[in-house]
Amino acid sequence: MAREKFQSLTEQMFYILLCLRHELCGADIAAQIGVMTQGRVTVGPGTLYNVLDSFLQAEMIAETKVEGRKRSYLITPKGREMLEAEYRRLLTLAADYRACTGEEET
Amino acid sequence: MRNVKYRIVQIPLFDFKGMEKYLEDMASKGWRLEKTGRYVWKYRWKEPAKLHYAVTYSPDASDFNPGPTAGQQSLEELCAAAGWQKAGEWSKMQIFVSEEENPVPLETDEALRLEVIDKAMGRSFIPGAVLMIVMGMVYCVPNIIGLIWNPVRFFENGMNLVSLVLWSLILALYCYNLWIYRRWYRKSLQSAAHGGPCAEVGPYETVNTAAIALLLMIIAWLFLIILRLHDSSYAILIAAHISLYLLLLFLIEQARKFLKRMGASWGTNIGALILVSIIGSAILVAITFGLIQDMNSNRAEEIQDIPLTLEELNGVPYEDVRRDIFSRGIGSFLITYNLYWDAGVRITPEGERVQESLSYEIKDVKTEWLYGKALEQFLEPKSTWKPIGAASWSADQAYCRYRNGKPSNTYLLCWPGRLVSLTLDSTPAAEQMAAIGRKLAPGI
Repeated sequence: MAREKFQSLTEQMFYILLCLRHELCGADIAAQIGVMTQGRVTVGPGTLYNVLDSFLQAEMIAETKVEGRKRSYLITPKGREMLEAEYRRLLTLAADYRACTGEEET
Repeated sequence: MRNVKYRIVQIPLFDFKGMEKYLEDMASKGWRLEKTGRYVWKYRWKEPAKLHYAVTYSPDASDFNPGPTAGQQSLEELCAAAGWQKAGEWSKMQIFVSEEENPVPLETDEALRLEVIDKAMGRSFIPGAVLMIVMGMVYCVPNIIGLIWNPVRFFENGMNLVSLVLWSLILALYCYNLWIYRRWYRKSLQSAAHGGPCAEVGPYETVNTAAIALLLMIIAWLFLIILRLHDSSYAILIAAHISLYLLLLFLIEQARKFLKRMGASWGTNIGALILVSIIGSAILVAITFGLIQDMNSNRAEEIQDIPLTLEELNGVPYEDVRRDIFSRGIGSFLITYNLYWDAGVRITPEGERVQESLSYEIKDVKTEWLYGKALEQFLEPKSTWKPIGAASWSADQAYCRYRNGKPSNTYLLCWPGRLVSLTLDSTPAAEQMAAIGRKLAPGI
């Protein structure tokens, strides 16, 4: 079943939103995600561009600065809500996992 | 050895894998992409290298934009930060190259990539294909109806058959390419939904190459028909028309590039090109029509040789002779149709000037089925035609048209493979009937 847009976030979307809790230049996002995840999550520049564009159109982030070709972004209140919702969804998954595996062990 | 080569692009716009592989193969042989054009790309020789090419799509990109959009610039900046340099663009396709051994992949989310590709195709490839399919149907459907309802008229003009085959081929080609895209998209969507990569596009190059070869053969066939049935002036006319059309396309493309260099907005560029296209097409039609008119008026003065003249029919000389031949289209391998007209002034023994004329149609039909249809058409309405003695005309069958119950001077003569309808100024004498039969029978 196809996911409704932003009903749940992909890992890459999640980390992009997480990085943009503070103003950040687009070109630095991929590097920050690499550091944050110890290289586990990679975001290609094409994917990064498309995700940022989608987030802008959904008003989850806002463009704060333009210096030549470099653009900076910051998460919006709507974006924070979506990030918070995704975090709670992941916690729910984790809790369900602990509940199921905990029962099996006992 | 030349250090520049040009290649026609045969890869579909959505086949990013095919494009990446093709460019990498070219680079491994020493040919680097230097410039992309609408149909032909330019490559420059450098030493063979193992480069990585990657393709992404920018739905906002357009050949009519004055320069890269803000989005495109942003994309280029992000790619540059990851070690990818812009190598070119083709419609919505953006091509990047990296010399690193293991560059960061340009795209790391297949589902999102597919979504962007579909958006880009929806603004470029699909509307273009749909437009060509609609144009193909607009042309083919009435012609097919014409072929069914009036095959005689359809086959009289060889252009009808050539054009129907040509447009059917174009229609089939665009339907095929559209189907290839939808099939690829559905397979890719299923794969991406399970975390897999986009699908392979499948075979298209063979079909497209065969279609282009067939297209060229049809155009050559058209010229052969013209040369076989007419003098070379028709072939020159068609060649001139095609050349002018190609010139118009070239000028439109140069106008687009000029406006882009001048920084004209997307809307201004598109509007100006539509205007240039309409005016250019009108000029092209006017020139072609003028050439045809000129050709026909020259022909009217030059025509001396027709199957039967007034002088041959009546055995007397004529003055101020004017002759003309009208052909319905260029004829075809199944039917040719010509209408002949001869007019002149006969001086009577009393010195009176009498204007006389003779007109007749000759229809040569190669198949029995079409012959029957053509004969049926001639004898419409049936009530006005009555059979008469054919022996006097040396024909197989002969008919006379009746008006208000009285015989007129319009006759239909039938031979195997030939139908002749003629209108005379008066009832023909026996010698005249014999002369007509001698002159107009097939094989003369």
